Amino acid sequence: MIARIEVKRFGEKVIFSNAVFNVPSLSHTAILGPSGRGKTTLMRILSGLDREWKGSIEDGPEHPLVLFQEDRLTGNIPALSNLRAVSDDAAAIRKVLSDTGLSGEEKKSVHEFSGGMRRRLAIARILLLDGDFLFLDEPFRGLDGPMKAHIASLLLDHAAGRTLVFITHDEDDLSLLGADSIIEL
Amino acid sequence: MRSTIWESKRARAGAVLFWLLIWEIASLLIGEELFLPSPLSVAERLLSLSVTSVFWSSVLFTLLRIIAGFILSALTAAAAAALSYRFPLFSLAADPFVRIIRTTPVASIVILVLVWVRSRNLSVVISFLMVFPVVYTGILEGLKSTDHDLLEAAAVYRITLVKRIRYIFIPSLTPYIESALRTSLGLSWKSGIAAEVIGLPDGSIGERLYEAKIYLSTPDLFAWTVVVIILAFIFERTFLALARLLVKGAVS
Repeated sequence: MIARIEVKRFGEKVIFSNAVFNVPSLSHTAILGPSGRGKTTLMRILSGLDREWKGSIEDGPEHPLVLFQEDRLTGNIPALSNLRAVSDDAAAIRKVLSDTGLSGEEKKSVHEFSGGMRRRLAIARILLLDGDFLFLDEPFRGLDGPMKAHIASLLLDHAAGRTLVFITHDEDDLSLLGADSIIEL
Repeated sequence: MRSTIWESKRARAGAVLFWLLIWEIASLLIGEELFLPSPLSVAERLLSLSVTSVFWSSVLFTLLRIIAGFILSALTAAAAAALSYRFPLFSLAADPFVRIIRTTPVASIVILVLVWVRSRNLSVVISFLMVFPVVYTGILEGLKSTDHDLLEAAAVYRITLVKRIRYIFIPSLTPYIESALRTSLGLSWKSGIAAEVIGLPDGSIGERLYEAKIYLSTPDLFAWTVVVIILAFIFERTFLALARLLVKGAVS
């Protein structure tokens, strides 16, 4: 995928101007950079969620799969219902709950979940879905230690056969997600 | 701890007893049943009324009509709110109707509706009209405040409309629905009974209230009022419990 951005603004502020971003097919591309440099904006442009910019994209995603920076879960319903919203496959739901260490917690309301549990639930939902590109915006927010490594291995499995684009602040994440291409902002 | 005590059923019963006591004292001080009957004489009258067939037929007459008006209105208002949310033009067209109904005095609407509708079904129409703006406005407000981030995620994850309704819209609307139902359930009774008192459909609670006024039977007036309060209370509790059950079933 090649994105040629003539200009992207937020009001008067120019975020990108005459910029070209290349995401090789089936690569694991990391977007790195300090806060406020437009990492999430770039991911939204690449994934097709943001169309308010001038320029063009070649070989962009048809069905992007996006793990948003915010968990974007419905808070006042059970965790299980958040997964049922994207899949009717009970066995697959049981598997992702088990994989993300949330078995036994599925009947609790998301409001009762800690930040890390919410992130895992958001990731469990991604694991139930299909798409040609996998976009992850700070996938390990709220996760650490062995859980972070475990979730990284799940995401890597899910990225097999897909182009992976992820945003991170932490350079250790590059190896965790097998980055072979980097966009620095 | 303190709030727990005050919220307990015992405390609520205590508050009711307190006001009954005030009522009893006021009645004793006035000393005239025509102006203010005592709680005891109202209770006696209520008991004696409750063993008559007229009592139950009047209760059933009014109850069925108010329930019908309420349910029809709540469903229509929910559908109209959904259309307004989806189609701004529909919202624009519905807005004057909703505003007019909300601000017009019930008595004016009742008299106008009496020109078009038989008094027998008056309370259905009035209950419908009074409930509509409350439910419509509440649900539309709830729909507009649905988290855009969740809706964007739903679009990316290609979540079907039915599932969006179940897992995003209904949970988001729940507090708005509950608030609208609480207000409109009471309103349906107030307006429905007021309509019956004006339109005097045969065999209604409104007619019984009117008769009590004509024959200066204040204990009857109080007894029927107590009946309406009890019916409205049971109606509200039952309906809210049903609504909660339906929501819980839908989102799980």
